[in-house]
Amino acid sequence: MSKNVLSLLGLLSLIIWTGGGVAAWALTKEGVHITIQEGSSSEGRGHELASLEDRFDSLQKDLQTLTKTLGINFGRLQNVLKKDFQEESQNNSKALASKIQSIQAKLDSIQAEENRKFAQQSRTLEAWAQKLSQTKLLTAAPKEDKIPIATGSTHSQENAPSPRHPKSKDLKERFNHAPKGQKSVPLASKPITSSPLSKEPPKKEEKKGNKPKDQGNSFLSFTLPSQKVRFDKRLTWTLIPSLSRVGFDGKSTLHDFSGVTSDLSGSLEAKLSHPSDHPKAIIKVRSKMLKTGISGRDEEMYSTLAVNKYPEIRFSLLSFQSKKIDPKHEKVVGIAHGKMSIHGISKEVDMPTTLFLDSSRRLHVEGEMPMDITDYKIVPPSKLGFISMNKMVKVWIRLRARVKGN
Amino acid sequence: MKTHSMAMALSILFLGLGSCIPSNIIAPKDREVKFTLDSFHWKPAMKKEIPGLYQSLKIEGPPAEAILKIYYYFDGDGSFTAAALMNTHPPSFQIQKGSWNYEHKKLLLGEQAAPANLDAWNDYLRIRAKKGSVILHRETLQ
Repeated sequence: MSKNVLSLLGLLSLIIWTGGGVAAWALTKEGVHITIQEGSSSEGRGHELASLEDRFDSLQKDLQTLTKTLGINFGRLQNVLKKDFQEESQNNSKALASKIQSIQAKLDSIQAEENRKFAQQSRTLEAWAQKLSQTKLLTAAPKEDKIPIATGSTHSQENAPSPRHPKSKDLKERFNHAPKGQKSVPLASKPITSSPLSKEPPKKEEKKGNKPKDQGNSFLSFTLPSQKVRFDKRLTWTLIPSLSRVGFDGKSTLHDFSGVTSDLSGSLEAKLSHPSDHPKAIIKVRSKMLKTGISGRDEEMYSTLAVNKYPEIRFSLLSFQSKKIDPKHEKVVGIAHGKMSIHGISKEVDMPTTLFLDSSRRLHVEGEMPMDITDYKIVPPSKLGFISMNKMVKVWIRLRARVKGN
Repeated sequence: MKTHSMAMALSILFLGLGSCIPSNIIAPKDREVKFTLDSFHWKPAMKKEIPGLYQSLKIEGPPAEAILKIYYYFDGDGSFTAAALMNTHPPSFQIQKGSWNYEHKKLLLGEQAAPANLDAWNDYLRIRAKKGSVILHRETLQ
């Protein structure tokens, strides 16, 4: 019995103990705060901050000092550099001025030398010119430059030297004809006014390849010779068949028709500014190549003209009577007097003619004249007594010629 | 009387026939040889049209005084060779070669030639430079 009482008492005390403990925990749990801190104190931290502030202040002062020092030093450096630069510039200017003076002196020396050479050459040329004129005087007949009475026209000595004076011609050619590619300067017509040396620089530029594009005498990469066609120069021209045409306009009972051909050849020689000065010209046409547009009529024409016997129609210029000379437009109007040969008969004829140079420097020759075909013993064709050709025809020329190459 | 009437009738017949056949008189303004090339419908060439062999049909301007004929061969790789028959006595060829280029409708030939306008029409090229122009026709290589 006592054991039971003791067990109950023990149990009861255990429960009371536990309950008390729980109650005590419940009552105190709100007021308990646990803070875990490592071992440091607020005093130590304050000390470290103060130390850092001191260091920062010190560094700031150092930086300010450094900035001031640098500013002063940079200023000094700038001043030094400025002085050096000024001194160097002055030195360079002096050196450049010295060099320029030296070059100027050299140029003056070269100029003087060139002038001396030029004067020497001029004297030599003048001496040769005098010799040439003396030679001319010795060899020329009296009134050499006068117009031959037979022709009644002036003659250019420059372009057609007299065959009686081969020596004077040779000498003159030596002076007047520069080497190939160089312009000749006739002594007789143009005094020596410019130094031949002054023409050298452009040649040097050409060699160096400094020639401006398509300047001077070049065309599409080709080098052209100096222009030769001149209105005031005696030139020889060659007819260009592909650009020329001659023909006649005839009338018949049925209808009018033209006969034409470009199968021709020939040449002209004249000084356009003085076309009356011994002009020469010849035009040859193959009579069998005349075409009227109807083959049957052509055959009859060939038969009438006897083309197999007289295959060529020819015109030879004998003289030219100028009516109007227009140098500005490079045009001449006049009467071409010549000998026309057709069907084996030759007659002197006059053809009003116009000559002019075009933009391609070709010579155009245009003319026309009436012609009685019976003058050349050509019987006007007739058929059945009803269809007949008028004996009067109009002969015309439209020629283009190119200056003959050297 | 009968014969006379027949002759009159024949005359009238022939005169009537004659009026049916047009006159082929060449008017004075048409007597000169003219180029049909001038009426071509030229347009700026395209680069691919250029390569080939050409010969000149017409040279206009002052260079025509000195040049009788021009031949060009434009290669597709940008090189060209050309020959001009010069109006010398006797005529002689001047040969050129170099590189060509075609930009902004301008043809550049070598280093010395200035840019030139280039037009095309069918098998024809027209080069127009400051001093003159040339019309070229394409030829076949044999």
